[in-house]
Amino acid sequence: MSEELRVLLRNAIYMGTAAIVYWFVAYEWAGSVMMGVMVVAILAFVVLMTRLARATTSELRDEQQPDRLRRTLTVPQRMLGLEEHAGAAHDQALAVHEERMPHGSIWPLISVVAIALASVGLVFGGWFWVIGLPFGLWALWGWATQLAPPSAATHQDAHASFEGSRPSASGDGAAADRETMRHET
Amino acid sequence: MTSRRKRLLGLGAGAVGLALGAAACAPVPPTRTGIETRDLYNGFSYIALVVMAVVLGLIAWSVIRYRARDDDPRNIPPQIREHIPIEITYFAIPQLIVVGMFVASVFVLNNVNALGSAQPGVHDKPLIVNVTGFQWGWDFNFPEAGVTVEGQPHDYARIELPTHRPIQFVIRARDVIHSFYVPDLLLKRDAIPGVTNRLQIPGIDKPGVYRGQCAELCGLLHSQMIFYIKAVPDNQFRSWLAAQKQGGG
Amino acid sequence: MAVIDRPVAIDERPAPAATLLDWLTTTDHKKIGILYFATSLFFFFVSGALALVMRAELATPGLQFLTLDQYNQLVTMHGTGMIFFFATAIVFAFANSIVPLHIGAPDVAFPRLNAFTYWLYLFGALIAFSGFFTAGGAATFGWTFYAPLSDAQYTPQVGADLWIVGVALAGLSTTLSSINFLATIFGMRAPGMTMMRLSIFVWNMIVTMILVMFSFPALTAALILTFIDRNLGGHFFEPAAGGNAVLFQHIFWFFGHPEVYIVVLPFFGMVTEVIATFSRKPVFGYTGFVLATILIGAYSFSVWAHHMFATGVVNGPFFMATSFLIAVPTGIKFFNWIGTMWRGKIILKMPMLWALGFLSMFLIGGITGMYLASPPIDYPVTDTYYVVAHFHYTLLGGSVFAAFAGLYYWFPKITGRMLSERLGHWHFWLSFIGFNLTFLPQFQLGFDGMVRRIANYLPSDHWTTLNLLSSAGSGILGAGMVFFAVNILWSLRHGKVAGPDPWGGYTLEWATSSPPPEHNFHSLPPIRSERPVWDQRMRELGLVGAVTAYQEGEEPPGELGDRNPRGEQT
Repeated sequence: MSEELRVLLRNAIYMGTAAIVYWFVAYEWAGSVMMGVMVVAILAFVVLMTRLARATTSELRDEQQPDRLRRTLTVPQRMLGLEEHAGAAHDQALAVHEERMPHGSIWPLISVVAIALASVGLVFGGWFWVIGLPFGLWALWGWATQLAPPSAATHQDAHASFEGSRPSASGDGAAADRETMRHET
Repeated sequence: MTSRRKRLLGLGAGAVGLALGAAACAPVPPTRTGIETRDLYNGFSYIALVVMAVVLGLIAWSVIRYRARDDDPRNIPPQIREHIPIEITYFAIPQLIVVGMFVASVFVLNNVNALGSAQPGVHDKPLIVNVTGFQWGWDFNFPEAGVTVEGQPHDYARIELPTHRPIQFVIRARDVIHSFYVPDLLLKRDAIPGVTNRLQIPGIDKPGVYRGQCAELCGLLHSQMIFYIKAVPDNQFRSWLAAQKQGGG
Repeated sequence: MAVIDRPVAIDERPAPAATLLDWLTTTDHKKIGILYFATSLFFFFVSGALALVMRAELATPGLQFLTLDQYNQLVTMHGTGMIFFFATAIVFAFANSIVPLHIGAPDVAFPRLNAFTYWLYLFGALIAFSGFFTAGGAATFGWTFYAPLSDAQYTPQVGADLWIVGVALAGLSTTLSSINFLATIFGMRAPGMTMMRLSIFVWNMIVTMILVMFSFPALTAALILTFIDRNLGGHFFEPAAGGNAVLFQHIFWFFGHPEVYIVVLPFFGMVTEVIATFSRKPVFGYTGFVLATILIGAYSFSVWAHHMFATGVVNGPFFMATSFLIAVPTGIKFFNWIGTMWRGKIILKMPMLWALGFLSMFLIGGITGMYLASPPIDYPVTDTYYVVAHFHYTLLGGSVFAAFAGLYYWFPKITGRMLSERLGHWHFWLSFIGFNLTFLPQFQLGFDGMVRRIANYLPSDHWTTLNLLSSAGSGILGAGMVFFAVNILWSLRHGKVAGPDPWGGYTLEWATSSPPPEHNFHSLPPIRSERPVWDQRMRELGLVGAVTAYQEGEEPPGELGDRNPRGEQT
C-alpha cells in the first residue's frame, strides 16, 4: 500500500466514523448523506488508483507475497503508517533526459471560449449557443487531432529553435552554459 | 533594531486587542444565561491570553535570540529534526485544553438553549412572543393578549417586555432568512422560512431599552430591520399591552 | 556551477504578436503560473478597491455616496473576488509555478488541461464581474448566496445569474486543476523523491487538492440547484413550495469549510519553507507536521455546521467538538514553526518578515476562532463585525501575508529578479500597521452589536469612532498595497538579478536556473531527504555532519542535533 493511497484512506476512515457518529447524535440526514457519499467517493478513487497503479508499477505486486498472516497483521500499520519504500534512490546527480515537451496549444483557449459562450447563453438566451457551437466543434476537432502523436519531423521542427539551449544527453549542462554565456556577452 | 522593536509593538497590539475583547463583556448582561455566557467568554479569554503570551513570547524570543550574527555559510546551527517527547507534549496540552473548553461550553449551551420553566424559584409559564421577520421589518405577536406590533423599514417596531419573567421567542420568517439579534441580551437566532425556532430567556433582570437588529443579509433594506425592546416591570407591561390592544382596535 | 542566468526574457523583445500568441497557447506550467499570478493579483487589487470603497462609506453614520443596492453589490463582489478569484486562484498560481519544481518534474501531468483550467478560471471570473455592467448591477446576495434570498423572486437582476455561471466555471476549473496536481504529485516525482521526502509545501498542496476534489463538487451542486431554482422553476430551496432553505446551507458549508482550509493550508506550506530556509534548519517535526496536515484535511469535512449554529437546527455539541478538535493540529503547526526557528540562525529578509507577520496575525485569527467554535459565544457574535475581524485575521493577516512571504521568496525563481527589499519594507510595515488598525477595532464593533453587511448605521449606535479608525486603517493598508504593486512592476525590470539560489534554499527548485529552462532541470542532485539542495551544499562545503540524510556506508544519521557544524560529536 503506497503512501498516496493511505492519505486518502485515512480521510475515508475518519469520514466514515464521523458520519456514523453524526447520524446517531444528530439524526440529520443531509450531513450524514454528504459524509457518506464522500467516503464512497474516496474509496472509489482509491480503488481506481490501485487498479491504475497495479497496471503500471510493481510496488503493489511486491506486497502480494504469499505470507498472508503477516500481511493481515500489518494491515493497520500499512494503511495508517508513514513508512514506505525508499523508491529508486540514486546516489549520483541525475541527468535529466530530455523529454518531449508538449507543444503549445490554442485549443484550451478556444474550447473555453465555447464553454463561456454556452454558459452566458444560459443567462441571455439561445443565440449565444449559435455562436458558441462552431467554436466548440472547432475546438473539439482541433484538440482531438492535435492529440494524435506528431511525426518525428514535426517534433524536430517545433523544437529546432530550442536545440541550442538544451543540454546534451549526458546532462552536464555544458551546452546550456555555453549558450547562456553567449547570450550574456 | 528599531524594526525589531516595532515588531514587538505590533505583537503587543495583538495581545491588547484580545484584552480589549475580554473587557468588552464588561457591562453585566441582564439575563442569567447571559451572565453564564459572559463567564464562559472570560474563561476562554484567560486561556487565550496565556496561550498567546506563550506562543508570541516563544516567537519573539527565537527571533531576537537566534537572529543571524554572521553570514558565514559554514557556520550552521544544530540541525535538530525532531524531539518526540516535546512533540507529544505540544500535541497533548492543546488537546486537553480544548476538551476542557468543550465540557464548559456544553454546560452553558444546555442552559442557553433550555426551554420550559426550568429556572428554580420561578414557576411562571414563559411569556410567548411570536417574532416574524419579513422584508424588511419585524412583527411581534403576543398570542395570550392577542396583540400584534408591526414594524416597518423606517418605523421600527417598539415593544415592551416584563422583567424577571421567562420569555420564549418563537421565531419565524415570511420570505427570506433573517436573524433575530439583540446584542445586549446576547440573543441571536435565525428566522428561517419553513422553520420554527424557539429561544427562551430566563428573565430580563434589568429594566432598560435594548436595541435589536436583523443579522443575516436579507436584501436591500437589511440595515433598516431594527427593533427596540423595552424591559419594564410586569404591571407596566400589562398596561402597555392593554393600551396596544385598544390602539390596535 | 557555471550556469549563468538570464533574467526574464523581458530584455529581448520578440514581436508583440508572437509573444501574445505564445502566451495564449502556452502549456508550460511556469507560464501558466505567471498568468495565474497576474490574474489573481488583478482580482486582489480590484476586490481590495471595492473594500476600500465600502470602508469609506462606513467611516461615518448614514449613507454617504453609495446606495444600499450598490453597497450590497460591493459586499458580494468583494467576497467573491477575494475568495474565489484571488485566494483560491493564487493557490493554483503557486501550485503551477512551484510544485513541479519541488518534485523534480518537467511539467504537470496534463499540460493542456492546465491551460484549459486557467482560461476557464479567467472567463468565469470575468463573467461573474461582468454583472457590474448590466442594468440591474452585480449580484447582491453575498458570496454565500443563501437561499431563498438568491431566488429570482428576491434577487431578480441578471447580474446574479452571471455571478452563478461565472463562479460555477471558476469552480469547475478548480476541481479539474486539483485532479491535475494530484496526478502530478502522485505520478511525476523524480527518482528518489518518495512521499516522505516531499517538501512540506507539496504535502500541504496534496491535502489541499484532496479537499478541492471532494468539496468543490458540493459548491457546483449548490450553484446548479440555485440556477435551476432561479430560471427553470425549481423549488429545491424554496420553503413556500416545499423546498428546504437549511439544506442549502448544509450543502454550501460542506464546501465552505473545506474551502477555508483550501485557502489556508498551501500558505502554511509556504511559510514552513520560508521559516526553515531562513532559520538554516530543517523543519522541526516533519512527520508530525505531515500528520497534522492530513488531520486538518480530514477534520475539515466534519465541521461545516459551525457556520450554522445560529440557525438553531444543527447539532451544537457535535460540531462544537469537531471544531475544537481541528484547532489542535493547527496549534501543533505553530510549535513546529517555533521549533524550526529555535536555536536557528534567523535571517530577517523580506520573506521571513512576512512569515513572522503571518505567525502573529494568524495566531490572533486562530484564537478568536476558538470563541466561535463554542455555540453559546457564537450566538451573540456570529454575523457581526467580530466574525468579519476574525476571518480577516485568518485570511488577510494569515493567508495573504503568507502569500506575500511566498511571493517574495519565489519571485526570483519565477522571474529571475529579486523584489526590492526597501520597497518591501514599506509594503510590510504599512500593511501590518494598516491591517491591525483596520481589523482590531472591528472585534469591539462586533461586541457592540454592529452586524455584518450593513451600509449605514445611526449616530446613536456609538460605533462611529471605531468605524472611523477602521476606515483610516484601511487607507494605510491600501497604501501598503500600492507599494506592493510598485515593487513588482519596478523589480520586473530593474530588480537585482537573482541567480539560481539567492536564499540558500533546500528544495529542488533552487537546483535549477532562475527562471528555470523550459523543461525545468538540466540535472538533479541526489534526493535522499526532504532537502536535497541543502545536502548537496553541505557536501560541497565539506560539512558532512550537517547532511540531512546519510547514504549506506557513510556515518549513521545519529543525532544530528548534537553535532557541531564540522560534524564532530559534541
